[in-house]
Amino acid sequence: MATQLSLGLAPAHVRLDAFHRDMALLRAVDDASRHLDGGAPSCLGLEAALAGTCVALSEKDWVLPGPRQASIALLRGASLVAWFAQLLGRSADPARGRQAPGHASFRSLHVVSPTSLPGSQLPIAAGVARAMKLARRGEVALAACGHGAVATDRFHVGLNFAAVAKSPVVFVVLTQGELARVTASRNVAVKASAYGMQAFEADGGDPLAVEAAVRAAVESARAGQGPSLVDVRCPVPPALQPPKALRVVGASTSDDAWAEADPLARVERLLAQKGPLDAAGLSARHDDARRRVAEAVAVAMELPAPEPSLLFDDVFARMTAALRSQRRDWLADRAFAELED
Amino acid sequence: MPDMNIIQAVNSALSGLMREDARVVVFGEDVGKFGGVFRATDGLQAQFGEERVFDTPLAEAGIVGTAIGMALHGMRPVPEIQFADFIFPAYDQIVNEAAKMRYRSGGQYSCPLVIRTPYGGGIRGGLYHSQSPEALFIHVAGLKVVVPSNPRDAKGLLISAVRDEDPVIFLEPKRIYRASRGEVPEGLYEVPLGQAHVARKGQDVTLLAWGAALHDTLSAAERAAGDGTDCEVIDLRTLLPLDLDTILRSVRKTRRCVVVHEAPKTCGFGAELSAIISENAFGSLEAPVMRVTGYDTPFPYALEHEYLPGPARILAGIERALDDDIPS
Repeated sequence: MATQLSLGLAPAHVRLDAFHRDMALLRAVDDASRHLDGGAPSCLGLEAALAGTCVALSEKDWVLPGPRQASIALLRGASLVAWFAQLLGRSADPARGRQAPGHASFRSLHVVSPTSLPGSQLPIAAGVARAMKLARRGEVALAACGHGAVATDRFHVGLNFAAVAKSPVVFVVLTQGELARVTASRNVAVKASAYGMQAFEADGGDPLAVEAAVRAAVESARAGQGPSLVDVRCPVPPALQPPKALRVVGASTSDDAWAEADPLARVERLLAQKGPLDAAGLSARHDDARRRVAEAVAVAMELPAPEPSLLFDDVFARMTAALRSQRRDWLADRAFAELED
Repeated sequence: MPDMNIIQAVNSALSGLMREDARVVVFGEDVGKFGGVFRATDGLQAQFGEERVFDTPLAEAGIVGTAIGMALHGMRPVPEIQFADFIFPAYDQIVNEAAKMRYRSGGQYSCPLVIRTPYGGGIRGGLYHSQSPEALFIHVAGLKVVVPSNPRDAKGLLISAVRDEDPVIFLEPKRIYRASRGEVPEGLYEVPLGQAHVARKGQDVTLLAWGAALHDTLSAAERAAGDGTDCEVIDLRTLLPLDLDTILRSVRKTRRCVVVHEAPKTCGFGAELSAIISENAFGSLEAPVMRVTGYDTPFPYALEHEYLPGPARILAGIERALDDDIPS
């Protein structure tokens, strides 16, 4: 679970320090991922939004992320080795190498398997929340998506169903780039009123602001007030170089503008002003994050691919006769291929 | 043992399942207060309350998305899509989310839900109230597809489907919703998924059918008997998982086979059945596997009985299967 959870109402700079630890980890993960085969959906520029969102949730709450928000699982306690095993398609992937890079899922952490279809998790989150409402255990579902999802029918259906049922769900939309290509609304938050739900807005470069907005939405949901829409506006990083280019809708930011807007740099400037970390401390923090990530990547790289026979598992709870037959054919074909070799 | 039609049998199954298991919830458009457009959920809201039997907005992707979310959280949702023709806005949620959830999460998450939906023609429903989309779901890895043909099976299969650990598309033959009647046990019982039923024993030709087409197939078999042809009729009941053993046992005995379904011919499930039989029992066949199906047209309103594979067309198909003049 994220380090901040135990901090309660600690002073802002102490909380920023904890946020910085999480954000530095996400940045190190992102940097490493771009240099690996397959890459991963980048969360560059979303670090403050993800860290602030994570800390507003309790352990019993569920997260339904899209691929670019899936690294929130690391802040909820997912192992780095498992994360990179998923990214590299190795045996330690809890999802057995079934999904493309960056679609990790961790049921024990209540992080639902991400879909590649923008916004498909929103109606599902409404359903999870409806079940939570019936269970009466005070749980909240949180669906996170990028602003591209706002254009989909899935966005409308998810928000509308949640609002009609007054289910305890929070929809966090991370806007990162040009909104005009997605919607004619002046922002995402304004859409909430049409669904009859509350809206919260936050500067996505400020983890404290994101935490405050998401926490208000979560507490409202937990108190039985129904769903909320949280509009988090995140900074746009400069275009990265191919082949691991970050695809963000909108004009690429200049390096100077990014240096100003980079959430990690913003937090570091504040920390440098107020402590407790000085420049050496910040550098050590990054070194530590990079070291942990490098170690995890090294471990994951050495792992084998998932067992080939897993190809046929988990289609159903029990394998059908047809799948057993295809599995026999597959084994025979493999044996034949080995003989041919 | 009470006499019921299919609607009453479905209602009886849902009522019993909801009494047995607090995780079972029923919802969809007008299923609550109104009791469903065909009355299959009549009285359930009064019996079990608005939290477990509820009306939803008219948006199939939301109905199925809600079901997926509730299933992920541990419930046993049984959503109703008012007509199978309306299921396509939810196709994305069914295909890309429900069907893949267990596989894509490495077995961490499962999606035990049952989508009930009336399907098929013959009720003057036209293009959008008559389609038979079973093949579109059978083709998707991770879905089970069930089609009852009578009240006793409808109840037993629905109970098995709701107790199953995987997503099930439960297609109800609306043309015979009320016309098919029979004795149905009052308590909860299962008709296992993946077990076909030999509805009529015979020696000369195997006829494979499901749902409403099963009854036309049985009628054709009776007429064929008058002409001296002894047909064996198999009600598949579950299209996935398929009871291949029962099919092959019959085909190896009769050496001839006709598949009957309402859906269009091209890429209909009959094509798959024909291929499976060819792969597994080619040496037993005296004739090609024949298909008597709907045509590759949208479902026609005024000409629906021209489109549907009625007993006369099935008889013609039987004749073709008996013809020893094999096309070359």
